[in-house]
Amino acid sequence: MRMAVGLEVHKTRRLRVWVLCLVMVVAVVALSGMNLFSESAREGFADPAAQPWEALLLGQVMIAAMTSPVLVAVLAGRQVDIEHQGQGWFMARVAGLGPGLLCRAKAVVLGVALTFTAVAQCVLLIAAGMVAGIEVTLPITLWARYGLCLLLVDLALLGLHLWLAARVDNQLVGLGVGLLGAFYAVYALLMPTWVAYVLPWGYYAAISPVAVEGDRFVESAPVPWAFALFLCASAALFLGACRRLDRAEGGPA
Amino acid sequence: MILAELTKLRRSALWAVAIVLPVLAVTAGSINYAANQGVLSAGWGSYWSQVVLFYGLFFMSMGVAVLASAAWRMEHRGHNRNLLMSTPARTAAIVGAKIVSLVLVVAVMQAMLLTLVVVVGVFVLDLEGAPPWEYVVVALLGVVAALPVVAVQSLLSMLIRSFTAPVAVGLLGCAIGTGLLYSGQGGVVSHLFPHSLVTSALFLGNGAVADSAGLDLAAVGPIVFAAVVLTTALWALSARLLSQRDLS
Repeated sequence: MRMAVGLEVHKTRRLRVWVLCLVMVVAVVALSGMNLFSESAREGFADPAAQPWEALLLGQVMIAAMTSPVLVAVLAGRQVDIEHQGQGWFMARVAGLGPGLLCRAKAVVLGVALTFTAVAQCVLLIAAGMVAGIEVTLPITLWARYGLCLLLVDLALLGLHLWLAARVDNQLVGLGVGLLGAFYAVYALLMPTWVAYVLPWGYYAAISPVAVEGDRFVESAPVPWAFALFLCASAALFLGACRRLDRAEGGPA
Repeated sequence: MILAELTKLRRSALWAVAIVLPVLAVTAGSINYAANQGVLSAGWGSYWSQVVLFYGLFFMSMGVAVLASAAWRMEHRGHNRNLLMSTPARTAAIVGAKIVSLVLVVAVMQAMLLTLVVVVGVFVLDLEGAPPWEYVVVALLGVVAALPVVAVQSLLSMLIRSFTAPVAVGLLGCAIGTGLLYSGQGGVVSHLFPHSLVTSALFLGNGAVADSAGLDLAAVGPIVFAAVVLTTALWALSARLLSQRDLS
């Protein structure tokens, strides 16, 4: 496994995975914090009733729901497509690394990249809020919980997209699914709560730590058992799929 | 050549994206409209604004990025690119045929969106009055405004063998485009950025979006002009780069 992870790390350099993650961090922070420097927003920076941090956090939830499913699909697609194009599955098998092991190694490396992305998004957005001059106490627990939940949903969907990219040679399928998933994630934020639990991408909305009630923000959280079930099922399915890939003859596609 | 391109696309899975994306936009917009009738004003205006809200902001451009990658994917496989370059056609014609065939797919996407908006609005939501003709203009304008996005994504997909890399650049383009439009710093620059142009066009006359312009000549003219100029420039650049690159 260590050798497979080492190989995947080398592949990420040529695939510019880190550059892509960094660029997406900047894009998400810029879009989420777009209103920070407007006059109307600045007026409420010292007023706890205006809930400036909660507004900023909800902005991040919206932008992350829109971009994260596509980012996960792109990362998984890029990391797997090279195996399809360069007979990588065959070469790895000759070296004693089955397709399932290779997928798990890819999950580890891309998981680290997504961890960096989620943490950097939260930290930089908080820093942007402070630089802009928000004086109200920061709801750090709320933000940390959202960052952790965002990372867990990203990882759950990463498993799905890695499997999809490995099974289907045409990366249009994985990217199309990611794009439609992003659509679902964004609209799940605007629809009744149960909608968010129907498809995996809805969890980007379900994990929102704030919700709008009337003209103010209230604390919100995903249903614990449903979220735990989703994460456990995703992990079990991914590991099961990897085992099947390892046992199958030839490449996974 | 355009017919040849369309034949290549005939069995491609890209039609699934071109059809499912508008279906999702209308379904989600309709449910959102129906669920928030207490907050939204009743009528075609609110319904339309809910349908195109995220579609115009992000998903139409991302859909185009995926379509362009899919259209060039077949040329990057095997020796298809060499075969294509060995035909007597000029590079401008090769790139032009790709752009036109992709625009036709985008037009189908927009026609689908418009038809579904009318069908759901009349028969499901039972909205009063006839659907406003302005939506036909906005949908058509969306196709025109998508021309530069098609051209730039086609250029990227032509240059980059990877399927996903041009889509990743497209994702970044959407982020920059939205930032330019809504940071209030864009001005003329937002008309020179392909992804902003799509959002500007689809949000014309949209009551749900702050600062969206009305559907008049003063707003439509610059969008059409910018789309034509950008597309021509990107087409010429694509043709030049294709003629300069070695066979793969």
